[in-house]
Amino acid sequence: MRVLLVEDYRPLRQSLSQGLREAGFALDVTGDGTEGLWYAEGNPYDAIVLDLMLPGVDGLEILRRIRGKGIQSPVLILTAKDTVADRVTGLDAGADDYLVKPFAFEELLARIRALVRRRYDEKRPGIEVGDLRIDPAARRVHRGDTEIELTRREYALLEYLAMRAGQVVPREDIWEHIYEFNSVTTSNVVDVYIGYLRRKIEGPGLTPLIHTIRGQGYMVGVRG
Amino acid sequence: MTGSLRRRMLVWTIGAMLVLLGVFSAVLYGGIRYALIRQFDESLLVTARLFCAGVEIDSETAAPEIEAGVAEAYETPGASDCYGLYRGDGSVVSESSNAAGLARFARVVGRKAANEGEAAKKRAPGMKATAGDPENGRTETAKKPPADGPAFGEWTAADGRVMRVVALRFTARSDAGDSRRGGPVVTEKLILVMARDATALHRELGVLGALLWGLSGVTAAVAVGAAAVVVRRGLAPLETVAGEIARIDPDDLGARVASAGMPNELRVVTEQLNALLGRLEEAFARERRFTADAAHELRTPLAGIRAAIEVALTRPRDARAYQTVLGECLGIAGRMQMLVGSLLTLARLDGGQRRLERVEVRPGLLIETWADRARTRLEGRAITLECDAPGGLICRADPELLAMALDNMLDNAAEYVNESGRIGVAVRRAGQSVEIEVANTGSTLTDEQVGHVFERFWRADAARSGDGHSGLGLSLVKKTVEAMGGSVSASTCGGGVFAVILVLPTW
Repeated sequence: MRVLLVEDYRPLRQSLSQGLREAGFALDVTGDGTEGLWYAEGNPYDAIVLDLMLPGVDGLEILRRIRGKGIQSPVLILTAKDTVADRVTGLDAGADDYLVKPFAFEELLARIRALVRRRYDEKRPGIEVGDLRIDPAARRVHRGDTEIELTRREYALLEYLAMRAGQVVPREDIWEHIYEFNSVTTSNVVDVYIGYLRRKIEGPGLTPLIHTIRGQGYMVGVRG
Repeated sequence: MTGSLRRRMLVWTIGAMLVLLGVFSAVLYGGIRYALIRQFDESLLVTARLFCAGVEIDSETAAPEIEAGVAEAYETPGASDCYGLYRGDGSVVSESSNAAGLARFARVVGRKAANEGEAAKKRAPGMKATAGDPENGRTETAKKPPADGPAFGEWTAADGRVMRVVALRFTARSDAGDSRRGGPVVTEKLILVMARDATALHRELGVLGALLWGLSGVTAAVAVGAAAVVVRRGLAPLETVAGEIARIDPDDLGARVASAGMPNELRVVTEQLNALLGRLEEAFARERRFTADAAHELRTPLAGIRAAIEVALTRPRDARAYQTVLGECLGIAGRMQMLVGSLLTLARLDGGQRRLERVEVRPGLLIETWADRARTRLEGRAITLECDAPGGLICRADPELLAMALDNMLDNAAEYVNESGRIGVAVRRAGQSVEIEVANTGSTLTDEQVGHVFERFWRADAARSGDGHSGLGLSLVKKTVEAMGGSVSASTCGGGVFAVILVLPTW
C-alpha cells in the first residue's frame, strides 16, 4: 500500500517515515506543502497523512485542491490543533480522519489500515481469498492452516492484489501501489515478484489463486 | 434603605406626596376657616356697634339707657344673638335673657383696660397714645385691638350653643338733646358683650374639613398607586438589562446588552458595560490564543519524542539505532525545555511575580558572551558579527532580564540572517538612555509583517514550528525590556536589513 506523509517537523517526519516503511508501506515523504501537493496530485496514494501547518501550501489548501481535482485518496490529518472547530474544518475540507499530536504510533498505523480498507470497500479487518487468509495488522499470510513466510515486497504485492480480488489489475497499478516514488525499477519487476509469490502460495495440489490475464495484468481469485 | 431601589423611590415619593398633601390641606382649611370666622365676626361687630349707638346716658339719672326697641329684639324666641351691657367694673347694666355668663368677657375686657391704663401712666407721660382712647392711651387686649377695640372669642351658652362673642368698650354720652337744653354732658365707659350663634358656621367648617381630609385621603391613595406603577414602569428597563446581563454566558463574551430603546441614563450604563465586555472578550481571546499556541508548540515536539521512541520500540535494534533515537529525543527535550522556560518567564513577567534588580551591567560583556557561545554556529555559515559596543559603557538594569533580552535579539538575528550575511550590534548612549541595536541582513519581512514581530508565537512563516524556533523570542525581548521600564522597536530598511532597537533608561 502506498502512503504519502507530509509533515514539516523534521524529527517527527524522520521517525514516522522509518516506522511506516518498517510497517510495510511504500512511503513518499516531504516536509513542504508545495511538494506535498505535487506528490498528491501525481500519484494514486492509498492514504495521505497530512500536517496542517506547512511551509509553502498549508495542509487544508492541499486537501481542498486535491478534492477539487477529484482525487479519492483517503486523507488523515495529523496536527497539534485540537479544538473542535479545527477538527470540523479539517473534516469538512475533505479529510477522512483526524489525529491530534502527540499520538500513539500504533494508533496511527491502525487508522491508516482502516483508511486503506475503506478505500477498497472492505469492512473486514482480514482479507480472504478462497482458503488464503491475510492479516494486514500482523502482516501474516495463511493458506489453509499453513503460515506462509513472505518478504516485504511479496507481502505488499499479495495484499494489494487480494484487496482488489476479482478485478483485473494492470501491472502499472501494481507497480504504483507497492513502490515508492524514488524506486529505480519498472513495472517489469512485477512479473518477477508474481513468479516468487506463485511459488510460495500455490503449492502442488492447491487451487491456483493468481491468474495472468494476457495483455491486461493479473487477477487474484478463485476461478469458477 | 440600601435594599431595593424601587422601595426606596416608592417610599420617598409617597412620603413627599403625603407631606405636601397634608400641608396643602391644612393651610387651605386654616385659611378658609380664618376668613369665614373673620367675616362672621365682622358682621357681629357691626351689629354690636349699632347696639352701642343706641345706648346713651340719661343726663338726669346718669344711668345708661338703651333706646327703646333695641333690646327687645333680643328677646324674641329663637333669636340667634344675645347681649350683655356692663359697666367698667363689670356690673350688669342690661342683659338679654339668655346671656347668663357673658359677664366674664366684660370683666376680662375691663380688667385689661384698667391694667393698660395704669401701665400707660407709668410710662413717660409724653408717650401717651396717639391712637385709641385719649384717656386710656393706646392699649391692647389679648387679641391686639386697642383697649376700646373689639375683642373676639368663643363661648358655649347655657343651652349648649357655641357662639362667637365680641366684647367692646365704648363711651356712652347723654343724648344731644339733653346737652342742648343745658344739661351737663355726662359720659361713661361701658362694655358691650354680644354673642351670636355660630353653630351653622361650625357645621360648615366641619363639612369643609371633612371634605378636604376625605379628598386628601383619596388623592393620597390614588397617588400611592400611581407612584407604584410609575416606579415599576420606570425601573422596568433596569430589570430588562439585568435579565440580559444574567443571560450572558461567560464562555461566550461576544454577546452584548441591547441599548437601543433604553432611557439615556441606562444607555450610558449598558454602553459602558458593552465596552467592558468587548475588552474582556479581547483579553480572553488573546489568552485563549496564547494557550492554544503554547499547547501547539508543546505538542509538536512531544509528538516527535513519542513517535521516535515508539518506532524505535517496534522491533529490536542495534545499539547505534538506539543511540540515534536517544540523541534525537534529547535534542527535542532540550528545545522543549527552552520553550517551557520562555513560557514561564513570560507568565511570571505577565503576573508581575518577578522582582527587578538594579545593578550595573556592561552590555558589551553580555554581547561578547553570546558571541563566544554562537561562534561555531556563525562561522559554519560564514556569518560576520560586527560589534560596536564600548566595553566601558555601563547601564543599570536587571542583569538576568537584560541578558535574556539580548540573547533573544541576537538569537533571532542569527536565526534569520542569510548565508554569508552580517549581524550588526551597536550599543550607544542617547541622552538619559542606552540604546542597543541588533540588525541582520537577509530579512524578507514586509513592513506589515514587521508590525507583528513582537507578537507571541508569530512567525513570518506560520509553518516554522517545532524546529527550535518558538516564535517567542522577540515577544520575550519586548516583555523583559518593558518590565525594566524600557521600550523596543523593530524596522526594516533597504537591502533586507532587519533591525531591533532596544532603549533602556539609565538610573
